[in-house]
Amino acid sequence: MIWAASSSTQGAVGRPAGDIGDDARDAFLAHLREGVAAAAAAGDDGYVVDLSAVEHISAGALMALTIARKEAITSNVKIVLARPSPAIREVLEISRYQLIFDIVDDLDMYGG
Amino acid sequence: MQVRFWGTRGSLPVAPRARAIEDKLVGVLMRASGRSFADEAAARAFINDELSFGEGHTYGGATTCLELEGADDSFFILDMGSGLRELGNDAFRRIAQEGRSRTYNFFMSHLHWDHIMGFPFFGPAFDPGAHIVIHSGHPDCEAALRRQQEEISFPVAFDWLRAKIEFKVLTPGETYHVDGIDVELMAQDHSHVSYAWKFRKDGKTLVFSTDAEHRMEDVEDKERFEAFFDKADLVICDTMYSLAESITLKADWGHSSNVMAVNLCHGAGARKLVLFHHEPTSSDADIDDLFAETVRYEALNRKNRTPLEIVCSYDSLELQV
Repeated sequence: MIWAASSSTQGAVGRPAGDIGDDARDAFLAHLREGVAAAAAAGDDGYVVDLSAVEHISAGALMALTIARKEAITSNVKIVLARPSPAIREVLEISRYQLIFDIVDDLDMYGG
Repeated sequence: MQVRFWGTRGSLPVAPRARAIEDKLVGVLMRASGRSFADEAAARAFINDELSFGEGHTYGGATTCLELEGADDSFFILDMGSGLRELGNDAFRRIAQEGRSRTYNFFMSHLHWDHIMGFPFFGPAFDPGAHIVIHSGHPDCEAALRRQQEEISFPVAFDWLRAKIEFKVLTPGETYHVDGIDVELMAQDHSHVSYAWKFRKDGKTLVFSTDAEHRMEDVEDKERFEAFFDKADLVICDTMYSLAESITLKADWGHSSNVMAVNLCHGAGARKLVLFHHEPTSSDADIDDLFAETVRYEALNRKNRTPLEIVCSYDSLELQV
């Protein structure tokens, strides 16, 4: 997994790329935690994770998202999953993650 | 070995209401619109070949009860849910027609109501020539069965049963040889603990793992289950909820999801996964969707692994192991 951070008009954006395999779970979670902490410190109520360059999302990656979501709630930050490919969106929807995460097709669709 | 499913529903027995049958018939008639069938076989072929399982059948509503064929002489029965009543009636038929032994080896996942409610209706328990051996990881198994037949709950007391009934408490981590089959059990995360069971014979392995919660952050749990499921030919898993439900609204309810079941089977290199312990509020169409989504998730998550075959259980399903 490759990770880059950038910002958009809505605040900080995390940009994982490639295959988020089980072996990348801990690194993925660490990046999510950092991003959520930075969003909380900046007073943002959302942290966008741009999934457009992610090719595969493993069970471990789903687990990392789950843990990060739980922790983010205590910081009053909402994790937003943006621009998943059709296959990644399918995995998220089979897991019913659309019920616990905002999943958007455009970075600008999240209004902060 | 062969496994036969007598009850596949979780928590509570269910039966379709009148409108559900009407909806099913309407759906089938609409799908067949303009068609005519030369005979009954052609009509059955239409139902079996052109409709989804849930459109042309029902997954059923009896609670957990499975039968494992392959022991040297006895019946092997996994849990005593409401499906046990029908198994008992069929056992009488097979004893009469096939000269089967009247020995019944039970293996209990746990003692919650939906897993023991069939025992008071199990005909062979009233047979003075029957020998019933109940294997459990729970030392309080006998107390649970006696309690549900106390007068306040049921008119026939446990002591009125005529069969010879024995209770055996087994220890996780040990392998037991029971009537030609090697048997192991392992504790699972569920209220008052539940146990997964593993049955091995002639190089084939069947795992029965129902009423188990798998917490995503619990890496030790994942490793334990992948080791228990290791290269199993068939794994029957609790797939009652979606992953999101199992970690939010229904966290700590003691059940798991189709996604976690696929993940564990992939990690274990298992060959076949059976979706089991269906949510009682799920319609046949909902369970059709669960099955299709699980097949798709397996393909998306497979990568370079050997394909894991997915089967969706229903009352009366039979599978070779």
